[in-house]
Amino acid sequence: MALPTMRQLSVDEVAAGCRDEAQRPRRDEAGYCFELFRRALDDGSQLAWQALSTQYHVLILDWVHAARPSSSSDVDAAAREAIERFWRTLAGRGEPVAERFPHIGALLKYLQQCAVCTVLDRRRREQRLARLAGRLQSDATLALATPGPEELAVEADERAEQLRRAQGWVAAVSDPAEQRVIALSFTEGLSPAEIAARFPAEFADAQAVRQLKERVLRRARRALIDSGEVA
Amino acid sequence: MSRPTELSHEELREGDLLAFLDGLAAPALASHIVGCPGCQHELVGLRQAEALLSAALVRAACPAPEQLLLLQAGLLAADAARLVAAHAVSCADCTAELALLADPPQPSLPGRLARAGVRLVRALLQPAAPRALALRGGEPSARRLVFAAEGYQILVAVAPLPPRSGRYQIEGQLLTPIGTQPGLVRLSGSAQEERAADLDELGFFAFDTVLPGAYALDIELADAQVLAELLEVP
Repeated sequence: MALPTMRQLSVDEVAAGCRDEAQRPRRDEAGYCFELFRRALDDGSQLAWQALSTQYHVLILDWVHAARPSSSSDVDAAAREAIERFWRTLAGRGEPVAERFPHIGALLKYLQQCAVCTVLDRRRREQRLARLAGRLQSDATLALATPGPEELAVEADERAEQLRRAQGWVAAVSDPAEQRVIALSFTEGLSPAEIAARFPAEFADAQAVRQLKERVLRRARRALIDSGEVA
Repeated sequence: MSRPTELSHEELREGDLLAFLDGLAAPALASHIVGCPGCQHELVGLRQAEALLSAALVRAACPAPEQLLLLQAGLLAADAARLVAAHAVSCADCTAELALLADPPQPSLPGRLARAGVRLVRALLQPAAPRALALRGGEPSARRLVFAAEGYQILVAVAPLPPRSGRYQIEGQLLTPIGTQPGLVRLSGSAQEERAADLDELGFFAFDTVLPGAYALDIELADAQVLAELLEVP
């Protein structure tokens, strides 16, 4: 690999070399693709970054599909998010890319892991939405009218936003006892009686746990639901 | 402290509604809640809030997927890496996600080509090669094979090179329904690293010093990928 010569090439020339190189077996590589990554990450070249995004977009789409996202509707957005994650987690580390990634294969492996990570994010979001939908549907008094097909996508977005706000609200709870009751009730799924039995030094009895939990729920309802209906 | 047999709304204490939801309310409390429109309204609000928090906190104790990614890639600071790794050891969900990150699933070839708008043609080995087919430089001792499908034909000759060297030469020609086209031929198998060669202007290609083994020929054209699997050398 003749890097001094490679570094004299324009981004367009390196990108063209990378396109050609990507078609060939790895042992025939001359380092064009690696140089493109190096310019994007080490030199902060926007042109190199754009060339990389274009060059690898289809490959990232393939990786996202292979990781079996729960929904195929936003695969394109997932691919964009994957390359943004790649950039965000590597750029500005103050470490030359060649030190951590000795060859293009290592860089592409990490890029593929970023694509998988994006799918994992979406799977967790889907799990939360499914839990919310299940809880609302299991209680007839909470369920609203069944939405039509065109309303479902909007509803999913709204619910996802509501869940995101709920996470933010929980993160802002500052009282340690309330934090404890929230974690034990909603993350670990313990009943007030179980919480009181496990942590007798913190909670006198189940009623004390219910008191705190109800206080938390009332505040959550005012902050998260009264400002806009669930579902 | 005992509670009266009849309760007014003002006598309700914090936690009473949840006790009712848990089926643990005393009769007087339950009787009031069942008949009180205000309490019923509050119960709906509490259940909605409970549903929302319960859903929002699914896997709240788990590190975010990006933390797992950074751990996997060795990009996490030492202290954070210890915490994330300690959690992952005891969490089946995170362990599974780490395994997926460590060994990501590979895209299937048909799916990949379909998304790229390229047709996959699986050329099958034909029973016997017609004698009329002649390959450039074909040796008399060469083994001749024909793979064909959907109007595409790959003519292959496998010849020893030189005698007793244990290596072979593969020569071939691709014939397509629309004549010759530019393309790239890849030869892959367990015996050697993948190799590539361009199709020439007449559709010929060649690979020298091929070790014995099972190979696949994969010819990439502009609108199709022609795949010949199970090419045995010699």
